[in-house]
Amino acid sequence: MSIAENQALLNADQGPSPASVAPPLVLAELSERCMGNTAIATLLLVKFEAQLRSDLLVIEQRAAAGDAAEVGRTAHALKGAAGAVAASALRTLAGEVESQARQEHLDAVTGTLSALRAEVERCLAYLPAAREKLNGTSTIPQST
Amino acid sequence: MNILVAEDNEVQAVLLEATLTQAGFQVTCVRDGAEALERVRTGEFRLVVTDWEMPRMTGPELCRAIRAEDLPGYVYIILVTSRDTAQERVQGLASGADDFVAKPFNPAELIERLHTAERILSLETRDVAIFAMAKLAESRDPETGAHLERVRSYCRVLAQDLAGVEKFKDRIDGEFIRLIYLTSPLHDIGKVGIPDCVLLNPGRLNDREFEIMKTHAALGAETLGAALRTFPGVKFLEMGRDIAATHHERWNGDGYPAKLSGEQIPLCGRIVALADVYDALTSKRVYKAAFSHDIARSMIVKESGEHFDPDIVAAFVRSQARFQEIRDRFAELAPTQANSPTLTEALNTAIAA
Repeated sequence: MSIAENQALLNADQGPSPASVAPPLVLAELSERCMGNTAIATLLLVKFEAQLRSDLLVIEQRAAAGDAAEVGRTAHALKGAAGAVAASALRTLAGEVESQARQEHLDAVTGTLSALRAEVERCLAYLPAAREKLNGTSTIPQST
Repeated sequence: MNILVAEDNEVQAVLLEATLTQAGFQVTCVRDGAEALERVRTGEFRLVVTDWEMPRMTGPELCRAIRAEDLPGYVYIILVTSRDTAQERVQGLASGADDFVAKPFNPAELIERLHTAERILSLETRDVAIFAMAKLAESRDPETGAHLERVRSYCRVLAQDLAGVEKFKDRIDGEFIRLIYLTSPLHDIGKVGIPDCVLLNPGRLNDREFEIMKTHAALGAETLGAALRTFPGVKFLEMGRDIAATHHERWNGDGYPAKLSGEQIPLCGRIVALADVYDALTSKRVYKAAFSHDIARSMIVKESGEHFDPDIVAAFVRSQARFQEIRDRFAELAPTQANSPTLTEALNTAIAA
């Protein structure tokens, strides 16, 4: 298990906590979005995981190439996916990158990218535990 | 009910499909607006849920394209998007969307909005009733056949063309196009008040009979106006009244009943005037053969600025291929290459019909 995964589990175990250490996904909200259907929620997380990796890569590459339009489009897609799975911090950061890119402020995008990358990593680290939790096989307490 | 979902983001698409399927809808997902338009054209979908940002064709572009299509029924469109500023909501609705849901969406809210959409679509039976009323009025005239179907299709073609003309962009939107298609069949509803001896006269009308026949415009306007007084603000009644009252007015002021001219004549009346005359010219009557499209076109073009609004004649010329398609689709009798009468004779005969 990686350090990030350990950290995610530790954060989740702490129950009510400051926003900075709150789980990256709110599972109760995700479950509500899926109308309590665990299979759908699990499928969403699988799709989300794949999109996280590819979207981050595209954003980094296109930002380096100075392609603000593609950065904006991809950040918008990432924002939408994050919103769907109740990953609110990631949604906010992706929205910031989208807004900066649409205004062609690629310097600002570069500044936000490190925070976005860290939040993506936090989500990726948390996903295995989240899936276990959804399927009732985890001992992680429900975050509030 | 079948729902078409247009969403390029796989996570969002999975969530939408699952939500709507669980609610009992039959869901088909496509990944861009252009593909969605192709599916809508099949006529299988009357409910569309679409994202805003998509490859090839955006959500608002899809809305505009659907509204410009000649579809068998109304298509209800919900934009589901994270673009949720007031300006963007206005932009989305102005493009022809019926409703707007912000992402991340609440599934219960989306489902309830879809149920609302189903209720609104069921109101289309009202549209069928309006058309049935017009057909009933027309049924007294044995010669008109599919006249109403053709006229309303011609009107929609003209309105769709004019919607792309800068001068009319602010006046012709998706609702105008839908309303003129809905209400243009009411243009001759006043003929229910014309005595049989005049309406069913198979020959040319004498002056007195023609004066009686001309009262159908005012009779129709009075009938629909009375309904409008009971239900003020109902747009289809307003447009229906205006069409009934003014579809025999002429751009140069020589028409009837009020001798209005130019832009005094409501736009809907000017559009129906051309569509009605084109159909009368290209249809067979006891007293005349059906003229070919080319003869009818040349007659109408010559009347630009006289009988007809020049902008509408220009729209007709641009759209003439679609006129011919509609005429072929609702064809009753093949046109003849009959000797062309004088322009005035032909138009007077057609308009008296």
